[in-house]
Amino acid sequence: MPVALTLSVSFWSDQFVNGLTTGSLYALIALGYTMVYGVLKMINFAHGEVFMLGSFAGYGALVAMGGNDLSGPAVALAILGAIIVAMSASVSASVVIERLAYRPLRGAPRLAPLISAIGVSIFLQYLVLEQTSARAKFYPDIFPRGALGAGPFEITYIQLFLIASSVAMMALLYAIIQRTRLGRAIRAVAENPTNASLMGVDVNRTIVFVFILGAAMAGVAGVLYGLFFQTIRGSMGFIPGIKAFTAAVLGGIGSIPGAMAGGYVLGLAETVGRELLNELPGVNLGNQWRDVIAFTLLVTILIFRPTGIFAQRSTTRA
Amino acid sequence: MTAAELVVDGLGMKFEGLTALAEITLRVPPGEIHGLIGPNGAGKTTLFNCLTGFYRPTSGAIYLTGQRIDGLPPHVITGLGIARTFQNIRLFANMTVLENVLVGQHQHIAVGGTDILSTRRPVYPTPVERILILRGFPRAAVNGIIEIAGAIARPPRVRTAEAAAVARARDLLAAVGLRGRENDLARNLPYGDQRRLEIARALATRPSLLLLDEPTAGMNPQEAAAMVALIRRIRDEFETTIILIEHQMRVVMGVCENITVLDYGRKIAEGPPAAIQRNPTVIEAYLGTRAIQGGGHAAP
Amino acid sequence: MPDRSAPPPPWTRTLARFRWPLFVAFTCLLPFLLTDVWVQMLVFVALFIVLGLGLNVVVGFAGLLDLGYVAFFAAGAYTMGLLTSPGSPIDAGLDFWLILPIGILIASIVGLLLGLPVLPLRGDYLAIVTLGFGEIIRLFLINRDDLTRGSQGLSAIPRPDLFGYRIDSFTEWFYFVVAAAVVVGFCTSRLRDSRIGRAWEAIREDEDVAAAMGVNTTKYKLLAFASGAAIGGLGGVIYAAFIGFISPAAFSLQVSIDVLAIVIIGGMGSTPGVILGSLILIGVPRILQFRETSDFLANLGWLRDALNGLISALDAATPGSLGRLPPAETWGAQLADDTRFIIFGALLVIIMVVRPSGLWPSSRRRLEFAHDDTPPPAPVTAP
Repeated sequence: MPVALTLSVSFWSDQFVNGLTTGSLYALIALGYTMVYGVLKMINFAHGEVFMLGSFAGYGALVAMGGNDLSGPAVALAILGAIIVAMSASVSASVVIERLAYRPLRGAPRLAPLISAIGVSIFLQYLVLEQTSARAKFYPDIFPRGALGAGPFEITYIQLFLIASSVAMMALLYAIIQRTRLGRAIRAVAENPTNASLMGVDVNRTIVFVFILGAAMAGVAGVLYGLFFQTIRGSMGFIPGIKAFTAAVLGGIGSIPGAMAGGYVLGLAETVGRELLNELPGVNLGNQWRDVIAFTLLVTILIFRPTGIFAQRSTTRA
Repeated sequence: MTAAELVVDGLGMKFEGLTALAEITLRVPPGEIHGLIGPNGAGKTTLFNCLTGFYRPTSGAIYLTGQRIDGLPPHVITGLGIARTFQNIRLFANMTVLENVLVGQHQHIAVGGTDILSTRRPVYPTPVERILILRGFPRAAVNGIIEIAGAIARPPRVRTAEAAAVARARDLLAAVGLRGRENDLARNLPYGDQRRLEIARALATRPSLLLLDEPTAGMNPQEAAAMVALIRRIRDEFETTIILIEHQMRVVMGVCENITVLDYGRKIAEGPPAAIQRNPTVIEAYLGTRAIQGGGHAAP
Repeated sequence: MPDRSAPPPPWTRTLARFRWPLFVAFTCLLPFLLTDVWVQMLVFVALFIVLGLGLNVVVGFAGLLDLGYVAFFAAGAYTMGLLTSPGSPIDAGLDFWLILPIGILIASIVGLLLGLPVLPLRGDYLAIVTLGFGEIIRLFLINRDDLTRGSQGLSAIPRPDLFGYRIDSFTEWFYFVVAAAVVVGFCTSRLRDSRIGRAWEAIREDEDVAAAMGVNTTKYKLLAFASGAAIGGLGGVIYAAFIGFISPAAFSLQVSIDVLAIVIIGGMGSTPGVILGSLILIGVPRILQFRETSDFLANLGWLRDALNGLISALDAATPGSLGRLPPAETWGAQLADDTRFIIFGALLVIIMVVRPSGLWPSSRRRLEFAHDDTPPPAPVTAP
């Protein structure tokens, strides 16, 4: 039976833009997972909480700068300030976490750092929940409303800002990885830490930089999340964290372009993909199924392409 | 076990366009000790990996005593009689010496039920095949339950089998000269003993064809001589065909009845040691890398 | 593992031989020594020992990292709930003892269904896929409310009868769950010492070589998943019968994390480690909620004053920016909430940093540690 799309073009373009928006957030967060995995072969379970801390720090900064009273050009400055504060907060948290909870465990049995990371994640999540009495905070509603449109295609200013600044951050990160000495060191350590250290790379310092870069991306994502969804809470890091890790795995974990692409694929799958499934007869998946879709997609893709969708397929093992 | 005949017919192996082996044709008669030599990167270990099912050859066929084995999963090939050691020793480092040999006997310890999941299917299933593996699943599940039940209840049958396996493992360890080290962790053995343990573990699988990947690597001449004696004894006592990859020419020339020379993934010569030493193609392949003159001790 | 040093005196050997019977005997005395809330706490500890032993098969023996263990626990619990709760659309009013094998079977099937597609994956991929799978199961339970009644859950699940006698009080439940833990512990230790256990260990050490030694790695990884899942299902059936009410909220990722933490904090592959891990991770947080604990904390007013003094000193530069500790009388209540998890998280980190191979590693792993030729990295000194 041929499937005819029953919904309007503008509906689909909305879904597409929504997918790009969440996809941008997933991609930004996924970078932290994929880089840490690249150098340490470890899932940094606390990365979702680093994102959450960035979001709260950005919130604090915005409120301190005037919150809802901000208007005009001050808004742009305040948002820039919030992003810087959020990045600093995420970076400091991440560096402390690396030093206290991960570095002592390098060379320990493989699962020990994972449990340590889970511990950090639980600790931070409940620390913030306790400090906020488990109540949600609301980002100041200062971003200009309105949308750009061309025919059925429409994108709100905030979505445009979110997507554009994510892409800019990722381009910056990519340039750092590809063009700078630091980037070369990171790639060398990811390839082989022993060789890298023999070639004179300071492995510990490089690993710290990896955490710094990943956390900076997560901090930006935290502010963007807050501006877009407005509601933030102590437990907000978990689901985006897992989704972002899913995105990193989709793109082939360890690969930086893969993580970015994986983020967008996941974002689009949750929106456009779900609606496409709903076009099938007898299928009606509400919004509450989107997490199921994300995980099902992950499992399916891993079965057929264990190295991720973008990695080169290897024909051998052993 | 009686020694097996190995026939390799037009074997080719490509990795992403890179040719690692091309048109390898080879026949090793039962009971022969056969040498496999060639400069580094000639494809010797790749050939072993094809023979043992680690790689699926991209062309050609492999027959073990008449039965075609290429494309079968490694554990099935092991069950059919090919065992191997590894160039960079790969023991179960955190298991004891005895346990290493017991793992080698895995398929020979009765538990009730047979390995249904090991039915002859291709090693690298396509996604569709992965789902089709589900066929035959009920029987496999029943076998699994029987095996688990046997392990928990430990009926006399299982106990006897286990005791016999332990006794045989001790015999094998004694045969390679590791008596008394049964309860050491494999990682704590000295280097030479680790090589011997790898051989004992391979013998535990009851091979009719034994593949040894540089058994004397890193050994001094005395140790190497002892290893040569051990290899001969294994061939005689355990009735296996043996193929060994070796860099020490003294060993190769001393122990092998026939030698195959690989270079850049192709077979460039085959024959008894004396002929190989005089073969101009072989000498040329080795020129600049190492001498092949009789008794010459090549640097590894 | 025979000891290669001097033979120990005979009495220690006797003690070692009977250490498990002695430990179980001591455990059976506990209900006579403790009040009901403590016994209730111990029922949970014992239940998580069961779960820990099950996950230990998957993670500790076979080295497969499973972060979705709650799926099997849920499968067992919902089998019990759906077949016995009056609110369920398929309430069959079956007997507990009939459901027990059904629940175990269904959980193992779920384990196999999960295992089949994910087994080709490497360790960390496996972790995230199993995590995703656990979440899928939970979301499924919430969203298929026509079957599971969604978040409302299934209630009035009947309690089991044993020889016509209803298992009701906490003490009875304690004995019942301890008995289950003993049976499971016996089974897993027998499995560890069998051909299957050796195959698992070989796979954990080097999967390719294990295959080259004739081990059908797919089959044994599936067996590990299925055995672990079966034990999780057993735990689930018991849990549902004990609590009498199940809802998806009880089957969150936190359960998977708790069980995994029990296994790893205790020491992978170690049965005493699982017991110790469960006591610490399940027992201690509950103890913190007890009235006795609140009473004890309420008497710590002096500590509060001292700490507040310290905070005031720190606060001198920026007056008022740091909060003060609440009255000690409220500490017990505070501990019951988020603080419990803050402590739990910090505890995970501290234990891992101080003892990366767990609090009570299996004898094998202690041996590994003792003879490790590459010493662990030097302890981090303050910069």
